[in-house]
Amino acid sequence: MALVLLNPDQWKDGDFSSAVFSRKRLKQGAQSVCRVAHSTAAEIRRHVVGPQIAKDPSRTLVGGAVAICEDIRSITANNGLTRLFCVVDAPVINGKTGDYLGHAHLGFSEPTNVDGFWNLNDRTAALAQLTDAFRKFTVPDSLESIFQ
Amino acid sequence: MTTISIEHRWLNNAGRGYVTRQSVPFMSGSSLYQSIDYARFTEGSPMPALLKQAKDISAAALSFGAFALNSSIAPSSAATRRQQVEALADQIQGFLASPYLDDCDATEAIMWAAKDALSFIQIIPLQIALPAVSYTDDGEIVMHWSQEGKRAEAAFPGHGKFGYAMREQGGFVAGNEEGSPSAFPRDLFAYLRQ
Repeated sequence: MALVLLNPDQWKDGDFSSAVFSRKRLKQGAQSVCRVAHSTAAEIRRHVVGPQIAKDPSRTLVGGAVAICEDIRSITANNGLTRLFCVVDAPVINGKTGDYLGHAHLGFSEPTNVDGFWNLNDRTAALAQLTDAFRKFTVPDSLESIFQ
Repeated sequence: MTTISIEHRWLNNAGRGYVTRQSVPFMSGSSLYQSIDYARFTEGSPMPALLKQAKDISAAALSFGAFALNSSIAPSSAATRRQQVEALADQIQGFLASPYLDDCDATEAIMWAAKDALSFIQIIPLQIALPAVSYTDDGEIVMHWSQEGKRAEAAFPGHGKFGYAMREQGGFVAGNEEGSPSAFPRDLFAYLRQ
């Protein structure tokens, strides 16, 4: 899966922004990512980059970062069993059609939504680990290289 | 009184030179930096007007001669650090007016997060480099250290506590202590100081 990198939201000063993932959107299970095999660069520019820059023209496209789904799903709690993140296909959101086929959502897994589940240190480690999963390949890479 | 050490390398036309060091009282942060920069003039170049007007200690040091090619402040001096912390604090305060915050909840959250983060940067030990800072669109402030293959993060949600983690053996490991803005965690100190 790929994450589109816009400056300064996801990319800042030559690296991932420390705040690349919105905690709120992860909790809602609504952090947008793209399935590489089911998206094209043109779709990403039309459905992701364009609307974000239209909202705030000071944003600039940096490129994208790719992670393997399995790496994200293998991030677990200290018990080594509870998966902390999940990835769900989301080509249609809230009944709104016309979104691109490769749209997916990344979020905290169901067990983490229980009150008291997160220790602040564990959550910080999990989020840092999540960002690390997107460092496996060339970062940033051009959209055309990612979505061939 | 805080003192700083200034080192000057003096070279003559033949490239031969010597080093002088001075311990002097710290007087003014901004004027000090300005004068240190202006100490980087070369032989024959006119002395910048600002240097002539400077009344701080580095101008006095330069009165030894006009051949100073390089001048530096000893690293980690308390005075330099104070300026760096002030710059970091300005950056954190700038987040409060960011147009990238999600909503009113985020605007409120980041005020509390900034309060904690501002307290924390004041107590980061001199031996530890200051972190890069960023924030999430829902109002959390994140600090990030990346040096010599080591990486660590600290997240301030604004609850009077913070979370932290360090990268070890290929993965991030949660800190051992409950992060408080008024105390630098011992395990984070040991990790970053190594």
